[in-house]
Amino acid sequence: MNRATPQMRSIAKHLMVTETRRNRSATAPPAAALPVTDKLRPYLATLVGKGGVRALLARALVLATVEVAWLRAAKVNADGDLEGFDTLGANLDPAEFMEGRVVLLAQLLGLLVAFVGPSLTSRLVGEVWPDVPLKARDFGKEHRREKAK
Amino acid sequence: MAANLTSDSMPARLSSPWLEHAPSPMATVEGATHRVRDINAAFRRLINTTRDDAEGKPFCELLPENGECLALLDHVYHTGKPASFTEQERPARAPAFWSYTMWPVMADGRAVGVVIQVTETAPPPERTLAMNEALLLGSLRQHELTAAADSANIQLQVEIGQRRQSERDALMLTKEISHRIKNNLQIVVTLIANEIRRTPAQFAQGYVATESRIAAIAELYDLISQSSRVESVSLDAYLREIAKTMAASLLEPSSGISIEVKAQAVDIDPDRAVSFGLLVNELATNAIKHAFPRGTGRIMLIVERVGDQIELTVADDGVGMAAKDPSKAPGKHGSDYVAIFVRQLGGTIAVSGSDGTGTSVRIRFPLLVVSSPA
Repeated sequence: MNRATPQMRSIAKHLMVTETRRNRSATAPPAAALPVTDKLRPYLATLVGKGGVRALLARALVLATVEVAWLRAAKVNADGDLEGFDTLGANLDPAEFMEGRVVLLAQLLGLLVAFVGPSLTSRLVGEVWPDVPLKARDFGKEHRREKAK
Repeated sequence: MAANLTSDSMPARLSSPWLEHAPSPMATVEGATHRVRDINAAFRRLINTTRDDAEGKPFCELLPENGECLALLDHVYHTGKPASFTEQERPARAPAFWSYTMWPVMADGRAVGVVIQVTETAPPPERTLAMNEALLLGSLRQHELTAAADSANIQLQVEIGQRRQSERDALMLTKEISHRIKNNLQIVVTLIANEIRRTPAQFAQGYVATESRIAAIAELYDLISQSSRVESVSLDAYLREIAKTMAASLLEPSSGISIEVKAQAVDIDPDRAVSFGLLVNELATNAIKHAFPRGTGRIMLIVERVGDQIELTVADDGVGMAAKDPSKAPGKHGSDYVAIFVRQLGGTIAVSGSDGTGTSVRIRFPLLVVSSPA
């Protein structure tokens, strides 16, 4: 059940690039390994609690590991933080490191779309990144329930 | 939605008894400070207060958060226009979320009070958050289980494919082996036929019978080698092949004896098929030899399903039992082949017929034989 569809990867990459570029500004603190996930997490926690975020990240990591083997070295700790990325980033080719993080974020977004639907996911992303245009956070159409015949 | 009344009637109308039992939380307030004039039971339950504690107090003092409420009450009181408020999620969370609607109580063309109706309440956000978390965890678990089920299903499909291939291989092997057995049996039949040709006719009967029996078995293997399944044998097809072989080997082309087959489509397990073939061969051979002294007649081979049994009938329109050599009647001697084959089939035999009316032999045996566990 791969949720990292090309659409999810495209959105994930866009968010990664946006956030990484923002962190490179002179006033920004040193760049984090997972800037998008770090920024998304508190918003998610207000909606589904810390336990929900931890479980969501852990599941996304498991799914991403199928495609990106080096992600096995990462883990989600009890507080819901993703650990091991600083060390991994230092030992990996930057493009490979970026690809792995994009897949992880795409899986996370894919799970959100699966559980709360594309509209709510798009609204959430819009709240966290208001400058990301609607077109760049199009998670697809809502799956409507079939009417009982 | 404004309520018009005179100043005199206002106090009475603001504390109407109809308010008390309204299902929605409702209250009336009066004056510019919005003092509670009446508050119904539903509202008192919502804010956990008593009538004595609430009445006379400024309404907004009763609420956990009063910013929007006060502003809206002022608005309705001063403008005389109804208004509604729908609570949204906020960073600073109140113990309960309320949505409410308000409308003025008018007297002499001005608002003297306001009616407040709470239209919606929601559980505290902590509970909502816990519910969201629980729902998400449940969804994730379901997601994991679905993925595991998908994975197991793929594995199962692979195993099914492998088993099907094994079954195809086994079928092919069985057919190949059956084909070779049939060829070998036909070689044996040919060898016996050579012996028959070199043996004086009066001593060749044993060879002829043996040749016919082996040919019947060969037919069975020929049928299996051509069948698309090996777990059962089609009795109707088998019976026709036996009849054809017997006619070719035991009857001269100019013979006045005919063998006819009437068979329903029924199957038998391969283990009992040999006994069946040999039984038919024995009974038909017996009829050919003894039922038609004048060299003309008809033999009927019939197979039909009767309930959960198969009934084989070998009947002739020959001279009948009394005219036959009694020692040749099947089923009379324990050593008789017929009796042995009937026993192997798990069946019973019944012979009928009398002098001049032909003979009919009926054998019934179970449709399916349940094999005992190894």
